[in-house]
Amino acid sequence: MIREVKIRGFKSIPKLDIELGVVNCFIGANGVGKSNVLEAVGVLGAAAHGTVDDESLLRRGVRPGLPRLFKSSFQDFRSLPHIGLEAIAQTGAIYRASLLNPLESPEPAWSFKTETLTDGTATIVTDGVRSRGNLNPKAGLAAVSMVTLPPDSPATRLLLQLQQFSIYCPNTPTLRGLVPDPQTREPVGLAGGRLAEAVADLRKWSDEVQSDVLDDLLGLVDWAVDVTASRSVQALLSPSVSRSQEVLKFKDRFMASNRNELTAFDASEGVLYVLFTAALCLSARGPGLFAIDNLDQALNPRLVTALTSRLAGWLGNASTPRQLMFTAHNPAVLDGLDLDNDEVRLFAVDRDSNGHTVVRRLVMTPELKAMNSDFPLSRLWMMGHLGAVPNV
Amino acid sequence: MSEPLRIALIAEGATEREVIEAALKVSLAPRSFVLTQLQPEATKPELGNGWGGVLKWCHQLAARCQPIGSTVEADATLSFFDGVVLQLDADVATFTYSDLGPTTAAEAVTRGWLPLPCQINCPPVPTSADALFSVLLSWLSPATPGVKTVVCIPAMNTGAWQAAAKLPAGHALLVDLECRTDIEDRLQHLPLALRINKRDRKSRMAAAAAVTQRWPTVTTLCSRAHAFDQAIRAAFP
Repeated sequence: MIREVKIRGFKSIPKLDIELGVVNCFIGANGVGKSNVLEAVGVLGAAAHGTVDDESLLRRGVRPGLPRLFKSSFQDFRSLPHIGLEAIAQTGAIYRASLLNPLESPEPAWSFKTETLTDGTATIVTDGVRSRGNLNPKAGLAAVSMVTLPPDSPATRLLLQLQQFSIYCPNTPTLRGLVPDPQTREPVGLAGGRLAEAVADLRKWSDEVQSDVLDDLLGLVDWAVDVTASRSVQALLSPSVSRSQEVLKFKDRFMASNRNELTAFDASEGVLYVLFTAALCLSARGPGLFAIDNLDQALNPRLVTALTSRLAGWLGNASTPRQLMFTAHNPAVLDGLDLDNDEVRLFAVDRDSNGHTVVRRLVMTPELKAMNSDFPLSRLWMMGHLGAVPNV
Repeated sequence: MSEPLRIALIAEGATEREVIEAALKVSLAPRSFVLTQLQPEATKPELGNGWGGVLKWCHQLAARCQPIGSTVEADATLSFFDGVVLQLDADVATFTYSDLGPTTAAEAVTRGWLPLPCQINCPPVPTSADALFSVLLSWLSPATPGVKTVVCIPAMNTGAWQAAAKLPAGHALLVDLECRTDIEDRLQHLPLALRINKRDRKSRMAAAAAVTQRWPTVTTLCSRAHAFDQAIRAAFP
């Protein structure tokens, strides 16, 4: 479990320390830097994997950028020559890297200026400014050191969690299986590819452990009584529709029983986004740390509240510990967050008077809790009382 | 780098926010801040812009802290802010509640809001002795401004601060600057280099930048700017 992330000199973030829970919701006006926070973790994940270049960033859903955009640039702020990133695990394990790339004539890959990996008690890798000519400055030492570490070492677990991190940004054509996902992953791709396979796995797991999670999921979608993944859908899908091997098949509760099946191509997009999030949270092959940019897209306010309220339970029930960071713009998301649970955290992201991205965890006061029926978080956000709004 | 101050702003409009934000950049320096405008607010058109919007916001706050009252900043819904700035132009003293419609005029009577129009002092008297300040307090009652709430009655309007920042020393409009109700209109008709067009965002931003850059001049020429500067420094030492 990663407890703290430190970011220095990355894009709109000159300096930021965030303490993470299991469910981490970031809200703020468009352009305040919510995605930059996620991308900073993506860059650290690439560093933990040993290489920070365009390819490794794209794999993690990070928009590749030139050093002049990646390094902070402000009128009042003396830019750091490097980007500094650090993650601290609950075990005390730490991974820290500072990355260099010149503003003029940048290299395809970033160089490691310094790199540190500890397991909470002992230092495993510590490399100051790399001056030794026999080391490749563009290759991370921590990733190499993993081969000598026990798999259950806190340092290994921290590196693995960082390496697995990706920013997911699903889109409807990919979720429907109509277009291939440029970044495929287990259990689903960054854009939502192979959702049918992920749902098949989810069904299998649900049957094995006798979980009612799939029933609960379908309960969120009023019209559907069942969902399966199938290869034989010729009768349901026009031959002109391109499709992946497996296709999601839904059973509609209102349609006549002899023709009540439809595929992901015809299903409402909302159910696909819900299944996508559930697969990432619940699948045994899901990443230990992941982000979803705009978790609320395409979802009805009530549905997104219901979905958000399930996240902590899903992540807690996963076979391996996992954490989610997500951004949202729909106020209804907030009403699904159980902020009494310390592992569910809400962060307001703003730009300060210097234009710097600043993040603050919002903790409910007893007085505010007492007023929740009249002033739920969704209303407070709309009123501007949580911050995280544009001045329009 | 310390945490930025979070300040809620209740103001008559976007122009006022830009001018106040420009002033805060100097008054709060070197600290940074996040200024969130709670009023006017696009999704609450029923509150409206201008002084009527400020009045209705104050009334909503007053309703939340009935019957015993509290300080403005003690309102639980404002707990994520470090302080509050309430702005009202001095020219509101020349208006009447019926300008906002018959309902508001009737409400003013039933709720015991102090009457408008009210006495207007030119040159301005200290804010606490201003009749309009008393009117504002009646809108907030039973809430009261606490130590973290700064009431800003800039002049007839914030155009005075823009003028003080943009116009060269000795300019005719700088005479009795804080008493000019038509300053915004006059600024729109100046030669291009000095002109401030309220409807042009670039023009407003340039004027706001000038307020930041020439804040000492603004506080010298405008007693209310000086008072605001002092109040902010006292509220957020």
